[in-house]
Amino acid sequence: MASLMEIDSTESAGSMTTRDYLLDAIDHIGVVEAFSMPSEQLEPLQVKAAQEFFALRRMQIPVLDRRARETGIESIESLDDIVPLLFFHTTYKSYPMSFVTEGRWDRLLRWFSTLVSTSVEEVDLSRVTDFDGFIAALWASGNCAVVTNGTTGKVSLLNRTTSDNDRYRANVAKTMAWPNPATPEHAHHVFKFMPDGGPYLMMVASAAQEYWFAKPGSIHALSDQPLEVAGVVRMAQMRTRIAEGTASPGEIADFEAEMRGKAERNQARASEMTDMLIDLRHEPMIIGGPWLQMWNVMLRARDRGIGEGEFHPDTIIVCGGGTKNAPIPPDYREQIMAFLGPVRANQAYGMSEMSWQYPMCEAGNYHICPWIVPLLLDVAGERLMPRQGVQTGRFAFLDLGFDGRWGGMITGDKVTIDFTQTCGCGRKGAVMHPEISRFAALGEEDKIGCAGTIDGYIKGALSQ
Amino acid sequence: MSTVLSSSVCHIVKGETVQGDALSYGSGDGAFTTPALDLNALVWQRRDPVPALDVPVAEIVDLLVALGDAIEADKSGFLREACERMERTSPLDPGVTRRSYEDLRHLFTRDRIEAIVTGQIGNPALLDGWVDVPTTHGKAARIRAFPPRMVHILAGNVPAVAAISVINGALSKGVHLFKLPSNDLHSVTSLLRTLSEVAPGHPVARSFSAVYWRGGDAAIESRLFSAVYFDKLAAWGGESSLRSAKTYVGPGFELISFDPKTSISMIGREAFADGADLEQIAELAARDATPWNQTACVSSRFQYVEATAEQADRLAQALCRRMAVERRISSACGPRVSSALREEIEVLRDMGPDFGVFGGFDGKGLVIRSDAPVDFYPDGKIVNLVTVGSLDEAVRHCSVATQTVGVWPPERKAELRDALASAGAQRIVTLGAAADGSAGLPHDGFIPLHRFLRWINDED
Repeated sequence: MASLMEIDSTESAGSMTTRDYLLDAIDHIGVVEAFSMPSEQLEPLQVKAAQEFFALRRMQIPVLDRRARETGIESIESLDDIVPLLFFHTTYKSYPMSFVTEGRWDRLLRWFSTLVSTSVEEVDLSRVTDFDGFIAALWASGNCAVVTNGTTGKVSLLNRTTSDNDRYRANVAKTMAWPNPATPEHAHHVFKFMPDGGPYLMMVASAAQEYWFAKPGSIHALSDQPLEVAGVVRMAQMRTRIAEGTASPGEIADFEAEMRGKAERNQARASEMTDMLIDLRHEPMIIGGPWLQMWNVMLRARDRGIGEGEFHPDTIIVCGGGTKNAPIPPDYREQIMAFLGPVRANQAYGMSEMSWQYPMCEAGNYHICPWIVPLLLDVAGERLMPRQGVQTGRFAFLDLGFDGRWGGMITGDKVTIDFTQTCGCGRKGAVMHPEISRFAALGEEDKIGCAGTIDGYIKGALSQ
Repeated sequence: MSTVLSSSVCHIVKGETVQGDALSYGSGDGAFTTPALDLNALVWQRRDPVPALDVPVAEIVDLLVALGDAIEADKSGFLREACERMERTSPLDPGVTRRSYEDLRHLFTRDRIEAIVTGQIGNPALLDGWVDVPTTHGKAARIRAFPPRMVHILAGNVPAVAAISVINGALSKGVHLFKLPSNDLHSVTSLLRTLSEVAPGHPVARSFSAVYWRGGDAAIESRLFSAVYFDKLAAWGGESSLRSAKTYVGPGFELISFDPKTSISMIGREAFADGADLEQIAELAARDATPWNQTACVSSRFQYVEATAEQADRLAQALCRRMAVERRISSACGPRVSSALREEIEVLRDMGPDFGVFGGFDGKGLVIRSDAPVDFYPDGKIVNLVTVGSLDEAVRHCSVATQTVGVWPPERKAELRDALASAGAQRIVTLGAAADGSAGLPHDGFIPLHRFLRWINDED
């Protein structure tokens, strides 16, 4: 098994591969052009790079090799060949939860090793006592895995290497607020409505933004404690114990009180940050966090008698998600942006599973990142939709941007891709429309059977 | 398939068939149309006694037996048509679906129906009139098991749910509005149409309606789910069917919930003793694991075994072989393992020796051996064989969602049953008997027909 450094050197040695070309497309052809390459030029490069990437990863990742053998895909000669090689997002959290709840870190590491292209031999588990310790041990060995929180209390472990994180950081400097990238001058106050640090992609992203843009001494976070995975794990453990009937009502109440306390502390701090950033509105800032938080900023500013358009034009809004079940109108983004004035927004389609994003243009469409090959599939996730006209389907992708793992994945997102290369912004290339929803099984609600699990019974026990 | 079937769904309103395609639902292969809904026609006014109040229970038993004969003869082809439509949309193998329909008539034998009355009510006279009961204060009193007014949210995974609901409904003498599930739009209507052919205009036939509306449609449910018209709501499928219904449950409108369940097995170390027939034990375990290709609540998904990994692997291999056998209620080849599950399992293949994975993703049967239950829900034809030091340890994996626990050897049921019941299980059977089920016994920890009825007193 090659060590991490050896893999890095083999990949960068010799003449440039097609994959390298796509990963560095920003440098080769320009930051705007890289995200608007004509499809007829981009797709053949993507297929070629996919084959290079597949040939390499197949030797490193047992699960990918098994999949290739079972589906009979020996090489990638068209985009269709990639489809059988896509993983579900569940793959990256397919470890049995008992490994975590019972502290079987050796088993968890063995599981992890089947999904990564790096070596885990250097991972020192001797001092690991919890999930956060496990992740810290991975990072110490150069496996910079990030996690995503699922609703079930189980987290995905998505491996990245230090080279992946370096590339990410470099791309932040080049593309922040695309298509008119901001200049990194250490001139921005940073307000992030999230904890400072933790093994999450949003933390990797905010660290990169701070590295280039932050005004020294002016980084403001919800908490100076890193966001820990342990809380999520404890939630899962509590659910198991409730299901087994071993959790007492008092324990459940204490647990909930603790969660509530944390939420209240966060709210108090968010409120404090909101006032600070409103005070600083005439200076450039980066404001990151959920859109709901920005909505609250707007409401507070209005309460304070502040009018529209007072925010500094170099301020960059980096917001996402976070409006679920929130009582805010559907046009919240437009209202917020109208209130802030001509600030910049770094809006993009992305997820923790992706090495970069599809940035949004002036016309409101997401443009394809050259090294993240979009694969629009049918609802079942089995076949490619025709790559012509405007098509709606299940989004999948092959992300060539990871040194630490395979990047082929099927998502639950229902997206529309316009293959006509006639985006309103005038740039070429296929684009994704801004309306994105989840694939709920439409009409499934009336399909009733008699089989079910304890999950349906304990929902009420934890008021979350 | 013999004929091109239209996608129109008929309704039954008080025994009469209503055709029409005023409303359409779903899209693609799942699209269908129904007649318009007339809410006024779906309720029975409380001031009118229910139609079957004075029909003797003996006559209802005769009627149900006659219905069984008519189901077998299926002169008008209602059952055949329902079966063909179900074959088209059900995830089950067509052979299993067909046999499930053929077997419906066995639910209508005189023995079974009388066993329901005696097992669940005791004295049939309670259904026919007022029966004297002893009191503690020296005065006389009489009670009657009075007909209820009920709405049923049916499950559609197997047609037997419809048949059992018709039988219990008829025996209760009450009025019954069935809400059709989108995964079985035809079984209960085919039974009710056959009933109306057997006894046109009979008070029992007039006691049933069966219609579709989109589950959770407040415009309909807020009108119907009310003590003004109905006493009880019998709901299958737990949360998915109760999402909105639970807002309407309150004084005078009671919920009878047939909750979603899962089932498990427990196999003792005796299975590996000299002389034990492991192949036969695997056969019993497979019989319990495979009913309706694991779409049913009785299907055992987790099987706890007192064994070493090596012993368990031998059982797993035998179990895998036996799961590939065609049975009356399961096919040799079930549904292919879903992509999401396949990925969870694929990873475990590389996790030996802590895990053993036997069988493939082709639907013939797959067994995962581990020393703790897997996190995913085995579905299709998948068993997780979990090694335990002793069966006592496995009791902690039993919960209120556990319906059936199959135990081998049967002698060990006695040592386990109190602990299992205490933890939440509702049915302890000898391994291999999970799908047998005898009429008249309690279901999911309660006695359905008893619970359907309204128990009314006449006290001096």
